[in-house]
Amino acid sequence: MRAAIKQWLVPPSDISGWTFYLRALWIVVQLIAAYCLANQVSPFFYQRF
Amino acid sequence: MVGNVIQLNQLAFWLACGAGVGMTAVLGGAMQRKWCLAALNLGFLVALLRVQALGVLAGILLARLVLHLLDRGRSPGLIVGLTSSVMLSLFVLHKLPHTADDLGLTPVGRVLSLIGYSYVALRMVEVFRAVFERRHHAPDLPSTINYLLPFHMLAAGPIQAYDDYVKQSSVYREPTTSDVLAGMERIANGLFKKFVLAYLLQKMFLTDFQAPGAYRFLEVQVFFLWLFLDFSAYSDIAVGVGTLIGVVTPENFNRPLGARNVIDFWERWHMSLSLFIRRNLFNPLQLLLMRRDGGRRPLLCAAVALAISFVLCGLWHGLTLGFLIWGVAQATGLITVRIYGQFLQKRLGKAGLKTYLANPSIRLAACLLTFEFQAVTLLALFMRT
Repeated sequence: MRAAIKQWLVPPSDISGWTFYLRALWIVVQLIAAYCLANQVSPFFYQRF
Repeated sequence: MVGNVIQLNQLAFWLACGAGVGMTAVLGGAMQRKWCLAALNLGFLVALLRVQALGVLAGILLARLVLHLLDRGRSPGLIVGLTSSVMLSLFVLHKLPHTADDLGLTPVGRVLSLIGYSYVALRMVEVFRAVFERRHHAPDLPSTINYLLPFHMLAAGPIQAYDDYVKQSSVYREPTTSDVLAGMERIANGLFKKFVLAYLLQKMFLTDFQAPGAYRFLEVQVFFLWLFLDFSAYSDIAVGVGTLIGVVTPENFNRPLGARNVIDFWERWHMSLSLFIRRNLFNPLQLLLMRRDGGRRPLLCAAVALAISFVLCGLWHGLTLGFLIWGVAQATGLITVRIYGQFLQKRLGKAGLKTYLANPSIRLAACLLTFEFQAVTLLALFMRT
């Protein structure tokens, strides 16, 4: 499992290193923003169905 | 878990995702994966429902038995009749919680809400139909669990076609680094849409339609945008989690705000529901009507099939007058677009219609009109009766 996770952290051959880490950074930024507001949100409208 | 819905800011969901990813990284064999995934889906239900999960497990075992009997061809008419009655009764209990309370079945109503019974029922229709029509054999126990109760699709779908499920479960591809990146991006996008963008829209503009006068017109536009962000966020997360755990999860949205008419809209919004309606309601109904009519009035047959399908679609969303009106409005919109399309083709000819459709101003006007139609029809859901 550790090997698989290590492999996921290395840019694949079809994506440049810059793009890979920039996309990873954007993921982290979005996750932090969502985490900060996660407890403010009321239940989802569509879940009533 | 508290309340009657799965919430994405609760730990059990993310623990299940983590366990699923770990399982994907460790397990190789298809059979091993199938059983582990079933254990994970059941484990999530136990975290969600505690002891009441036993009731769901009993329901799954019963469904498995009935599917097995159907597969063997034992009294198919009786089985389909009985199963439909039970499913419909559960659906009414789910949609009308006060009925469950009146009958002393409050816990049943709560369990049905938590597992998202509306979606489970549609998956059951898919698998029962596939076995009844002899397209597939009855699934084994882990496949029944994995198809009917996938933990990442419980909150808000999508509704996977059983044919697709059978195809995908026979081929498993370990996620590559690109898949993991794409999956993480979908999850992060979904969380950002739901907890940041949709939240800010709600906080700044939405009043639950309490504001008076002209503001209601602005609010309904924003509400439609909010609904898109919120709902598509769940689908993004489901698709992302599915990518990480190696379970192909159907897409549910394809830029629906750019739809140029109501038919186009339903091909882009809640696509898995639209495809379900097409497969299981519209196509069989249209075929039946065409046969009865001898193919003389195809437009009328399509219109009647559309009307019935979308009225039922409205009632699937909720057994209220508001949803009935919403369903009728959608059906009216769809039929109008069909008739207008035929009228345009007759008037302009094929080449003329192509030029007309390519005109950017007409496209913009059509998109705006579709947006307004969808936004305004949502008002029916907030009618006070």
